Amino acid sequence: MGYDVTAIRAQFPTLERKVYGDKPLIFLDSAASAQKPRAVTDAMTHFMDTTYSNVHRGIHALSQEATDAFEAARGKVAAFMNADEREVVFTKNTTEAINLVAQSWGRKNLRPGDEILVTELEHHANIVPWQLIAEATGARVRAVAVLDDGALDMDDFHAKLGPATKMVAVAYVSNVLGTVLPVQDIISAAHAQGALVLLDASQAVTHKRVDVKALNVDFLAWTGHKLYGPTGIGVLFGKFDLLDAMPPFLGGGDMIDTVSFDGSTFREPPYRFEAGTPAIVETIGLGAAIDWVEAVGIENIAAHEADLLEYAMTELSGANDVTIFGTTPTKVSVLAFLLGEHHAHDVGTILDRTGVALRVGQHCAEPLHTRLGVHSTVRASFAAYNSREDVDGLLAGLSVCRELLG
Amino acid sequence: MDSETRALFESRLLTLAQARVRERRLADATHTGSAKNPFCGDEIAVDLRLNADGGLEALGYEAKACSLCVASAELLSRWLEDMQASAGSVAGSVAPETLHALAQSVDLALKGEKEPAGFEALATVRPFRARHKCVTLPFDAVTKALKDQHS
Repeated sequence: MGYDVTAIRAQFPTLERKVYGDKPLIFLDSAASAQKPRAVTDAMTHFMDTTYSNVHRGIHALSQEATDAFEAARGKVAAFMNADEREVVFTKNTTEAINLVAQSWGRKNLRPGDEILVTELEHHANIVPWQLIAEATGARVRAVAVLDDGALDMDDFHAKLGPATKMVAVAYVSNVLGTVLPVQDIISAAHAQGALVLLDASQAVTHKRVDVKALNVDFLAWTGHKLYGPTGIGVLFGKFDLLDAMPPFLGGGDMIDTVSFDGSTFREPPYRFEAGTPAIVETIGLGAAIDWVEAVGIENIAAHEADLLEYAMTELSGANDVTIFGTTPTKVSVLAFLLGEHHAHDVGTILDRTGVALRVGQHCAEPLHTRLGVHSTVRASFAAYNSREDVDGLLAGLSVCRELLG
Repeated sequence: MDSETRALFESRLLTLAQARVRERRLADATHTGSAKNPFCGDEIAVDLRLNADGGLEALGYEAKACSLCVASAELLSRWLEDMQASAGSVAGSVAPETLHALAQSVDLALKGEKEPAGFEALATVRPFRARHKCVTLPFDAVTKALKDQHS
C-alpha cells in the first residue's frame, strides 16, 4: 500500500484547525518544530494518569514502573539510531547536548592553539557553545566555507582540517538549506587527523535513517520536538569510552555515587550527565514518537517528503521571481527562498494570513545568511503529514504576496 | 485577503518605505546608535545631532530592513521636522525627553492606545504582533544613540 498522507494527517489534531476565521492551517514550519500525533500526546497523558512518579530513586511500585518506562524509552532511542543504551544521554534539547560536549569534553581536552572546525551553515547552537569553550581554553573556532549551491566546500574542509583540529562539529543537515553534508567523508578525514566529530543531527533524524555505528561518529545530538515528540527532551549520543572519560556537565542528584564534604564521585554514563529529575513525561513522549515514526517508516516518510520537495522546487523554480537557496542534489525537504526583492517578513506576514505557517528570518543561522548575501529568507519545511495540496496552498499564498507587494 | 492585511500592505506605510526620502547619514552627528532584530537580521543605524543645550537638531538613519521598519524611521524623521517647524520648539530643536516620550507613545499605540500625531498609519500594524518589533526598531536605535556621545 502506498503512503496514505490523509490517514497520517488524521493523526495530528492541530492540522484540523483553521486560522484567521476560515483558513485551513497549512503547516510548513516543521523544521522549527513538528506537530504531534495523538499517539504521542496519548502516551504522555496515559503515563501521567497511571504511572507518574519520579524515577531511579523510589522504592514504591509507581516509581519502579515509571523508571521502567523511562529506561524503555532510552532503549527505543538507542535502537532508533543503532546505539547502546549507555551511550544515550537525555538532555533538554540539541543545544544542551552540544553545550554538554563543549563544556565537558572541551574543558578537559582543549588547549591553546587547538582548533574546532565548524561550517558556515551551522545553526547558532553549533557555533556559540564552541566559541564559549574556545574563549575559556584558548582554542580557536574555524569555519569551513559553503559553496553557492549550499554544498560544503570540501576543498576548504580538507585545507582547514589539520593536526591542530581536535573537534569537527558540523550539521548533518542544514536547517536552512536542507543540504545533507557528506558526513561519512568528514568523519573519515577527521579521524585520520586524530580529531573527533560531533554531528548536529536535529534536522537529519526527522528525514533519514541515522546509524551512529555505521557512521562511526563520536557524538551526535538531536532533539525530540522536531521528531514529532514533545519539547524539553533532547538526545546526546556519545561513544561510551568518550563519555566515560568526560567529567560531569551539571552536578546534583542522581548523577553521583557518593557525596561527602571531602568530595563527590560520579556514576557511569549516561547517568553522570543527567543531574536532577529528568524530563520524565517528555521522555515517555519521545519514546512514543519513535514508535510512531518507526510504524510509519522513516524511509517511507523520507520518500514522501522527497516527492513534496521535488514538486515544490519544480513549481517555485518555474516562477521567475523566486530565488531558491540550496540546490544541491543531496537535499531534504527544507526549502529556503525569497520572492523577488520583497523582505521575508512581509512575505511571511501575508502567507500567515492565507493560512500558511512557515518561518521567516535567519533561522538561527546568521553566518549562513551573511554568506548568502541576504538578510533573511522564507523557509518552508515539509514533514510526514504535508501534502501536495499544502504546496499548492503555498503557491497560492505567494500569488497573494505578489498582488499586495507589487 | 482579509481587510487587516490589505490595510497594512496598501497603507501609506509601504509608500513611505518605498520612497525612503529621508534616509541619510549625518556627517556631523553627535550621537549614533544602531539596533538589530536578531530574528530577521534587520539593522538600522540612527544619527542624531544635538546642540550644546542638548536639543535635537537633526536625525538621520540608514536601514537594511523591512518596509515597516523603514516606514517607521521615515515617520520619525518627518515628526522631527514637524516639531521643529512648530511654535513649541525652541531654536529649532527638540528635547530628548520628547523623543523618549514619543517612543513610549508609539509602543503604547501598537498595544491599542491612540497613535501620536503623525503616526496614525501605525494603526494598521497593530493586529500584526509579530511585526511590532519592526516598528520599534528605529526607536531602539534612538535610545541607544541618546546614550552615545561622540568623542
